[in-house]
Amino acid sequence: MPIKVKYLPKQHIEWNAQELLAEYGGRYGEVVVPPIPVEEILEKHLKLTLEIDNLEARLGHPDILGALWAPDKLVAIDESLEPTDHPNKEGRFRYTVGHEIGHWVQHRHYFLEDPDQGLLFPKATSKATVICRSSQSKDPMERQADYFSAYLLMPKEMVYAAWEKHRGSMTPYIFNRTTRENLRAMGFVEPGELLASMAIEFVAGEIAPIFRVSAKAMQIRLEELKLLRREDGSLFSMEGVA
Amino acid sequence: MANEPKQKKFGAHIRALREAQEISLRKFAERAQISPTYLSKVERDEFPPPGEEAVRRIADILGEDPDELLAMAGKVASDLPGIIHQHPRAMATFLRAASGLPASEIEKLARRAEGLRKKGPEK
Repeated sequence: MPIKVKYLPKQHIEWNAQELLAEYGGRYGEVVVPPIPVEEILEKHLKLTLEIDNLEARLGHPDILGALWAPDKLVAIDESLEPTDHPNKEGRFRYTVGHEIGHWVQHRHYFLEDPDQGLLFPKATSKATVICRSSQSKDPMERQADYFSAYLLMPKEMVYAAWEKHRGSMTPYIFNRTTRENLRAMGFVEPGELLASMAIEFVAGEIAPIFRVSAKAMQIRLEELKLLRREDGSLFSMEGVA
Repeated sequence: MANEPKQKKFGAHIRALREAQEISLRKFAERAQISPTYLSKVERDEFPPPGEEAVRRIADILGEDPDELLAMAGKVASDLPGIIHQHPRAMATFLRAASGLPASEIEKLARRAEGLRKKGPEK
């Protein structure tokens, strides 16, 4: 049963992420350039224990990316995402860590009587508070955690700075008829929609390593900041990134 | 299974010390030269403690005594069997005699032995 959470405007979620990063910076030194030290924020600043485990075996469901046991201050991430063993999963690993931090910051009061001290459930409970699966349809609580992760890992000002430095100006990349014709002249024969996706993914994929996020997560953030778009202005949703 | 209580103590012990020293799982694993997934399983006592060299690195990172941590991991330092084999009878007699003494008395004996060794063999 999904928990019914209060509506949070995206602006408030972004403020929550900015506030957390500022708190971490006040204690451990300001984070001025990406990548955001998301594991340090979880473990050192929020004092949550991080575990890496086979979550299907532990929780009995397939496709589990991460889980939060709020009363135990425990976060577990599935071992299939661990970047030392699976380097191509680093973006998804970090996004999932950010997602679980999003649950802790924004939703723990739904599970704890006193978010700072008391526990609603007995300490010994083994039931995960939140289980985050890749295949599940995203309820509002999951979407809020997704937005939080994107805002934490890719802060607006850092994205603008990285874009300008990498691309040489603040000019957005717009896939339009001219771009398409230019690519056609270079020999790309893919259908228009596929060509647009390829071009946009390529541009996002160049910025993504700076933030150590997946190209898909970077693309959604760049589109939201209007740095990357198609001529028709169609945007992608942030759902389904993690 | 006989070692299980020691292994449990090892995993919980190193996690408590690591978290108290604010070292992240990833940084700790890097310094100990083991994978974060493996370290996490060791900390939960799902996997047995790592080998002697890794336990020594862990002791170094945490500022712990390596012999104590090795004992907690159910291991004996690899140099000890060789030391015993040099003088099996005398060393076994010595260890049995020292066994049961308080740690402070054993340390006194060790300091005395070190003094004798520095002086060199008797003529």
